[in-house]
Amino acid sequence: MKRSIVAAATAVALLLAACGEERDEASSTTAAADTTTAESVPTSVTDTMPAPDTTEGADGVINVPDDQPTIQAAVDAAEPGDLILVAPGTYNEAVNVETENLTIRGLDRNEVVLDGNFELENGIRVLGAGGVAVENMTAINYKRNGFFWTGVDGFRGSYLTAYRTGDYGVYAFDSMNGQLEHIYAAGSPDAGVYIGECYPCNTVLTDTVSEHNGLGYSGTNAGGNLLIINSVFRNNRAGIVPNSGSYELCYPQRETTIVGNIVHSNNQPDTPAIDVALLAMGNGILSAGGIRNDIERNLVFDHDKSGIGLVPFLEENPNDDLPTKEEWELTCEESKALPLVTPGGALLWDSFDNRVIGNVLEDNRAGDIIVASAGSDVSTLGNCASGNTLTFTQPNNLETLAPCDGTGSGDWKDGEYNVAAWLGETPPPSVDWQTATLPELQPQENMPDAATAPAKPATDVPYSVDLDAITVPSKPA
Amino acid sequence: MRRNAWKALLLASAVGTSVLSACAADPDDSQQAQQNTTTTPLVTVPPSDIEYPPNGQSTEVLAIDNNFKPDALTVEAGTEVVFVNNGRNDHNVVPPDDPTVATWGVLDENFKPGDTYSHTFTKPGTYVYVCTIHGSATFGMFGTIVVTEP
Repeated sequence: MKRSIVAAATAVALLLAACGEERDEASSTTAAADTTTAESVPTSVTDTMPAPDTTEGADGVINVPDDQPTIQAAVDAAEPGDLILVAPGTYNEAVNVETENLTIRGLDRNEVVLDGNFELENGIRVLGAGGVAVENMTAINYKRNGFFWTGVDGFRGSYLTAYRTGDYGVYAFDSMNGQLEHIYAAGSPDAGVYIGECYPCNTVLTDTVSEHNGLGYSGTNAGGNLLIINSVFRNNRAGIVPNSGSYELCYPQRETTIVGNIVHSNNQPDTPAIDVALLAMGNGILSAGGIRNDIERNLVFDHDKSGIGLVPFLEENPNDDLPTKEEWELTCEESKALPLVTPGGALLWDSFDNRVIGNVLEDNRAGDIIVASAGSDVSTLGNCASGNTLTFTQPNNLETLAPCDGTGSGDWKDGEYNVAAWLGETPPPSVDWQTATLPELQPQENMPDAATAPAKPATDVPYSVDLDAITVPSKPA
Repeated sequence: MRRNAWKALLLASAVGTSVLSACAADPDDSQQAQQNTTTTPLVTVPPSDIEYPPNGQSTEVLAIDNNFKPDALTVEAGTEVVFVNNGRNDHNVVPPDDPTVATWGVLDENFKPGDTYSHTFTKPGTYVYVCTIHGSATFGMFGTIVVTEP
């Protein structure tokens, strides 16, 4: 069945626009949504503040290595609000940041390289310090993560490259009010970019390329004004995977808005991959137990399984019971206060109330859109699809069964998809992250005016997004 | 942030409680007095010199991504504490003053998802531990065990 793209309904557009509202209009800048159709992503942040005096010894500016020999020494010497400028070079450091409102910037994204030598844990780890911005540098060969924020209110990562890391490339955990932009992430067994345990997250991920990871993006129990937009997820085991599970707090995963991305060829058999990446292999955008996600105007093609899948996640050894629908409304902080209740057995996290609208899908060989469960009546889960350009769905005629803008009709058993069969499959095994074959690291776009732009701590993020202006990207050449 | 402030308060309280309970057993009054007046909450109170045998009791601490649950625990001396990595990531259990886990604790190469580690706390005291990958002794993934006299 071939369907044409239709414009999103006004109500949907309003809803999406509301989701993208910045939290503090008075203090934020506006970055127009990038509607580029190319797989490379352009600059979207402009800055009109006057240039600072970044000469050696200037107040509030610490140059590495001229003023301090290492990035860590500079961080330790810095006061909140300072700008740390890092000169080109290789830095064998695992930097811990516990001072708020710092801006840590490389002078050249491709030549400021933090190298963990397969021995150090994280390139830069921000522990509980809100407002820290990390800009314009590369992290490679870290046992855990390239760039890692945890427990912060306010974070930004801009023009960052994470390559060959043992857990995640860019990782924001238990953190809210963030902006991740112009990221390149490759070679992580879990996810190139991971945002976890936040609700509401109030975070934007944009202008990113994530490839040859276990998952291009993973977001366990993350959502609430969380936008994944204008990015490319290709050649991972699976592309964009919001998911629920009790292996971290703040379940379930809710309310991620996924718009304007190019998601293709996520069947890559030779990446490092954790177990869930192996299980999810061959899917473009996969809600694994996700709730109320909006998946709109993406281009999704060339997948062995689904282009967009709304499926359950079976958690075999859970730490808590399933949250009630009333508990879905709790904030992350509220839900943390609930006691854990050891369940009697495995949990099945179904995907509920997701909306799939206006996407362009092609050559997704098990179904352009798949909606499935493993025991629940899938017709009762509240997922819907409308206005997508596609060839076939499972169950068949999904847009008739469950339109987003009306009452559905038809037989949900017609073309019912057996998602449980995935558990019996044997995908190509994980490859050691230290030795996996990756695309050669190419020079990545530099931050404009790195040497002269003023400190810009992450106190005004996320930047506002005009979701209505985002259109379906064109297929790359 | 609020959670960790609460945790720090709890830990400060736990440290004070433990110090007080340990005073009678520790002959070094000057050392105890010094610890009682500390304003830094996150201090591992040295265990007392009195050692108690295993009491057959066991309790569990989950290491999930990236939290210890519970992150504050009180047990009687002689109790076994079993740490279970039920997350999807590697973790470790490391006393801040003992990074090689010579006294107790487990490093991440031996604490992957699904792994367990147990230790029987035989001496009263307050034991702070951290997952060094995902926290520090003052923030993120850390916890405390207060071991009381039976």
